[in-house]
Amino acid sequence: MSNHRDRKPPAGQGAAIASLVAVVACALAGDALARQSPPGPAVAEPELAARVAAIAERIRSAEPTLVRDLPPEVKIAQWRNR
Amino acid sequence: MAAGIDAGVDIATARLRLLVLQPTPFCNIDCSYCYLANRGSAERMSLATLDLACRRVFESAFLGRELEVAWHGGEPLTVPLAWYEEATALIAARRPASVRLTHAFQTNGLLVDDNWARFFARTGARLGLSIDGPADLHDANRRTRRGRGTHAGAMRAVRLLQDQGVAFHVITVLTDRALDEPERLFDFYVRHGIGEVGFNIEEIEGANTASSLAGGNEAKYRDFIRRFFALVWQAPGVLKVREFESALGYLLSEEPVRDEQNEPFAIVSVSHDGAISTFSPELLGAHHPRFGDFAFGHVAEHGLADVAAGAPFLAVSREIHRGVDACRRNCRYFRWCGGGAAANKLFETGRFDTTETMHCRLTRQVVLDEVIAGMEAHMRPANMRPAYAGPA
Repeated sequence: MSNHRDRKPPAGQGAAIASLVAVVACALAGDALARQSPPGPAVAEPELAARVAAIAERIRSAEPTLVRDLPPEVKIAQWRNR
Repeated sequence: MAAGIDAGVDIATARLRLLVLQPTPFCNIDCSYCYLANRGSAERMSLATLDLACRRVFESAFLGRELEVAWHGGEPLTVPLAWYEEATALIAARRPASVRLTHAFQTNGLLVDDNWARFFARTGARLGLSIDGPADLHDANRRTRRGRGTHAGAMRAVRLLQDQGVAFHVITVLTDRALDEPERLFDFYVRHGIGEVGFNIEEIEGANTASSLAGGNEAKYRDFIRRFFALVWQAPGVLKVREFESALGYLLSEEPVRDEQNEPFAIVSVSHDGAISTFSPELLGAHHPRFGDFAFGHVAEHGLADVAAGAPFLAVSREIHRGVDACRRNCRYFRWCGGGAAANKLFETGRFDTTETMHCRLTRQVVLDEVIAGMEAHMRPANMRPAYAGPA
């Protein structure tokens, strides 16, 4: 297995730097809220939309500019070979 | 939508984003899961046909400000580089000044050499290499017609492109054999400096009438996605995975997702002989008893507006629209899916106006489920997190 377990995005990794997953992972890792107020389906399984809304809200609180800055193409599903 | 809501095209809002050009149906290898029935044909697109295709596309009211031209075979690099030099010059000459155009190639890499690498760098083309992971996984399915593995040749292309500084991503087709080994796949990409990967599934499509992922292997696929997401999350920025990027983008988007495969003229496909199609690119070259070969027109005779008014297109468009509408009414994932890939509905169920497929369960539902669950797990306080499925 690889030993890449550092939570900071590595420098000089080209395309991988622009990863939305990486940005969110790092934002949440540094989000004080993530250590204070648990969201999510701790008691009962909420509806899918409610779970998604909770995730989006938590990410917004950690990285307010992220949702607004999403590139438009992310809204369109990709053809499998692009 | 304006007139013809259940079948036609709203010229005011339709936007052509992807032009798929098939320079040849020929492929120099013979993958076991390939959907193309005519991959042994060595026919090629003529520059005259390409010129007509350019005229049809660039004169169309569907054209937006950005267009990606995807060269997709067969294996596109079996057509000589000199042809692409002329082809890209021709497209550049025909392109309206207001349109930003990018080229993309999807290749098995076997024919990549220094000249191709320089061409990709000079044209700024997006390049995708088809590599199914380590040699045993890759060579199990991606073989020559004589049965020889192609992994060594594909990895030679990886090294050559990296040496030349040409960016590329990898597309990996997941078959059942790969599902037990997410850690090994992750390690493969990292070890070879591959920073971006997209997972395709072995689809039931065209000439490939069965998938090793069908039936009981769907649970294994879910486990694979869960474990791979954990690997990616725990090493942010090391590997960009198309499926996770898309899913997270959809979850954060304030707009419902729309799938360009079921939106008329968002994608236009032109075959080597000039046949025009739209919706899923895989339709062109397939055959269906009710819809024929999905050639809705020909560049020598039809503009895209003619195609949009023709009976073959309208019959398909109506049925696709009914299928998307059924998804909208019945599927809780619709907001983040957009109604699924038209080709997969047809090839799995025989119709476009159906809803759930193996393809949508695996590539949409499972991925969304596992990204959501993974996010939730990581958003809990450390002392409340479940034993998340990532490796220690």
